[in-house]
Amino acid sequence: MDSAEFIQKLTDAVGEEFIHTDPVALRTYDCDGLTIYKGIPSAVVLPETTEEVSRIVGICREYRVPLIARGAGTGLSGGATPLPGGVLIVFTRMNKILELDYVNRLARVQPGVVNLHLSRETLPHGFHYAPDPSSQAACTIGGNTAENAGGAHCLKYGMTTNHILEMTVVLPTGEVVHLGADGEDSPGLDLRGFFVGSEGTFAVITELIVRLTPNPESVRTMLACFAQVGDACRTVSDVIAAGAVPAAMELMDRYTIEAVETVVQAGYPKDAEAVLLIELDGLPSSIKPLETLIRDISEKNNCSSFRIAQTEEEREGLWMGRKKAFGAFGVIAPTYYCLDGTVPRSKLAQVLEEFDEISARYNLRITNVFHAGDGSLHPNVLFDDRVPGETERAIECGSEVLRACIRAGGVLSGEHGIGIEKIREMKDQFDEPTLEIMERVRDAIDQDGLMNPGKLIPDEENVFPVALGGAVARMGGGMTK
Amino acid sequence: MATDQKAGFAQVFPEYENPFVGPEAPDREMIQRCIHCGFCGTSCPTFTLLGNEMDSPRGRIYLMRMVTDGEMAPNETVMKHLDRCLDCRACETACPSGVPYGSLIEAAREGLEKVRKRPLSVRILRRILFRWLLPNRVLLNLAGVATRLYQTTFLRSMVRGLGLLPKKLAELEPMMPEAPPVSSMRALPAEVAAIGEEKYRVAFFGGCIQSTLFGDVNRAAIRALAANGVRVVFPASQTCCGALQAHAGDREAARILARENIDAIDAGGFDAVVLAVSGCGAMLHEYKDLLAEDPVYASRAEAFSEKAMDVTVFLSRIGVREAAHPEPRKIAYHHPCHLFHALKVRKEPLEVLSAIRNVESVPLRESDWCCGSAGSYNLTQTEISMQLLDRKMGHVKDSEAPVVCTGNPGCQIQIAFGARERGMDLRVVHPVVLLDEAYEAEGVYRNATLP
Repeated sequence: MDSAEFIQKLTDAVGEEFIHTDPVALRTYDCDGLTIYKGIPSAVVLPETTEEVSRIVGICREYRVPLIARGAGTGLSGGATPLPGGVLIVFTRMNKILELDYVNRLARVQPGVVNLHLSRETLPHGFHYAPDPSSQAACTIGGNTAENAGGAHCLKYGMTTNHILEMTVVLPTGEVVHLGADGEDSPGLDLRGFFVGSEGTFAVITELIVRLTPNPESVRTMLACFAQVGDACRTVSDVIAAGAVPAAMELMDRYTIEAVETVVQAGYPKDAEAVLLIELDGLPSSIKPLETLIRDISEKNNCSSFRIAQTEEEREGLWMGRKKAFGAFGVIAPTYYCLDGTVPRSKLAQVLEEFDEISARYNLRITNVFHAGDGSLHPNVLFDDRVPGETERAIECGSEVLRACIRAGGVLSGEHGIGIEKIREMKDQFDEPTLEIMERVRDAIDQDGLMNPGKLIPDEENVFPVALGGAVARMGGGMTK
Repeated sequence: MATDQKAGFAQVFPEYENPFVGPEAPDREMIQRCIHCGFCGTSCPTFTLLGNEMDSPRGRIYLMRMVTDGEMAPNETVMKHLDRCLDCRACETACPSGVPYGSLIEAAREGLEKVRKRPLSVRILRRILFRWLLPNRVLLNLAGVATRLYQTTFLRSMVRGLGLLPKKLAELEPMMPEAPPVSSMRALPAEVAAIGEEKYRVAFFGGCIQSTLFGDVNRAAIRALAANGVRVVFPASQTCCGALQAHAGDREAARILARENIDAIDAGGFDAVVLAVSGCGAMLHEYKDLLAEDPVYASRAEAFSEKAMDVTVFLSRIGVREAAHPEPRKIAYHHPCHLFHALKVRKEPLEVLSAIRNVESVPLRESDWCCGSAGSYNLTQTEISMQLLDRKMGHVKDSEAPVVCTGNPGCQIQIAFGARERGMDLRVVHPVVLLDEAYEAEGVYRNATLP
């Protein structure tokens, strides 16, 4: 392949200012929020329109160069990490909110719009965009869609896929198609549902119509503290079994409390083994009985204290602790690896016990902070990457944690996606025929195998090696969704 | 460790010396604290404008790490992206891991100066400015007088009319702040007694450019302090704080000035070292880090930094006296970066403003965003600076406030320039000046001897 010619064509497609080929620039794009796997792209392009993206895809196809889409690069499974030599399409310039339609409760946005920026625009008008990954202040709606991201409030409001009505995508052929419709239902195959969460292995998203959700009439946030993690877990399953659906229900264990209190002083009691952060929203008259119900269930499960935020400031403080939890781990360990397996709520207590056992066996601490309400776990393996062999041990430990989730009837990923990170365990999760049908679907859409290769579906040809030592400092860093 | 790094670096890039070694280099442990989560991106004005990873805090830390570890040469591309950083420290507010980005970027800039090839003329100019002009009150006032002469006589229209300046200078000339009358540059009195009962005694820090261009703000602050029962002492041998030098990579000059100021002001003998210029305030707070390795000054620097305080913080802590402003006005408050992000001073200036009856604070969008002034950034990175100013002025316009309040001379100059350029009738003023006007109008100062 004539690489100079290839780069020239890309340059013509986006303009000289919006293509990077300088080795220094390319290095900074070698991974996303998961720093353990890296790949240096051959070029980074920053298109401005769907037409430009289509042209880029066409050029990559012509020269058979893999392409990878990237929003803010905050993902935790390596979804935006380029296969070495691939072209990275970055959406930071396609960040416009194109239309806000409050009557039909939808917004038309470009994929690079930051999740929280959409809500910031619509909040004063009585609406918000409901999926709220902890990284929502930075992550983009395009990336959220590709990964089918979750968030604390998805317990009540559903994952990203429940909020994407229509998407414009560029297919591997360069063709532009529209999937879904701006109404509640669309005729034909539900290809929209099919492309959400496909992690860039089918197509590149260039425009979205998303649902806007009315703001709740009122919100109550409470903190229940427990001397036993098991009691906190039972409270979660009892609350859901009693028919209540809180807006959010988050569990943090002792290590997390310790880290959070060191960094932000959220007001969690340091002697508790676990705290539950619970939020209710809706009409005040409907919240009141739920509040009583949750308090009763917590007390039945031996909660040591129960506190309701009295002011907006207090409420924000309680949430601040949760949202900064992952960053705060830096205080209690040099490095950590964040996983996101999901288990049935009824198995929470049992699985956490199993994690303790795995932790003892590997002699690595595992902390837990997660969306308890929907059983979406975030076990974090703490380790020191400067100790030879410890990174590999942490990866093995993580893999065992994921397999424990699968054994308990759960799944590999609740919201971070499979990416490179969990591709190995896909074979533990799915049997041969299931994996094969996934592969056949992907191959039918991406016939040349150029769309984000080496991600999501096991692929013997494109394996990312673990990047050890040198510049690798942390893995799975950052906040979870 | 350091020598190993250096050896490794020399093998890969024989033509470069690794600039990031030694005790003053970016702290490798602090670089390690960055977990690459990317939360800082949207807080960063340059990443938002340009969309490049290399122009984001995370990307810049990545560059610093690779240069430190000897994986990358400190070449022009590295410098370009580190130079584009405003050092506004908004990323520190967004960072969940507590990465001290400000000290990393300043250490990196100091290191890069070692390998940077600057034209001789620029090096001389930097030396004159940082080591000679800023720390010298007489010279600085002379420059102020010259500017005033230029701006108030036929000189300006002649220079502009005849196109006498080279292109780059002609572009920068309108950005020059309007110099005040010479009387405003006069020295501050050595001591001002409290009005009524004396409750506190503070040392006042004037600042270099502040004293020349915004002497009136200093005097307003001193009067307002006096009105709140504070005796204000002005130690005359104080000098420039060193902030501009530190931001531009000349931390050695900043250290020299820091020692002079610590010698000049016996911080221990006062309730606080108060100042009405937030950029200097952040610098005084950082003396403890700047001189941490200094065997003689380390502990004194720490004591000094602890006493340094913005005038709005001091007033709000002691419970600021209320007064009504004679002209009812809507104001929009712009947070100076170093006050908001570096010192985390967020509520206090607004508390001082709320003590002024008749002054109504209206929301200003992105009020915690850099205006593009950023020390000498508007001169070195004019294009990005002007884009940020444009964004800021758009929000100011939308706020419909005829007054913008802000506590840093850099921001005041920049926003005032933005208003002039756009033909906006906008008053840009330090919060303490409004308080001073209110006290004056209420007769608080009657019979007092004040500057």
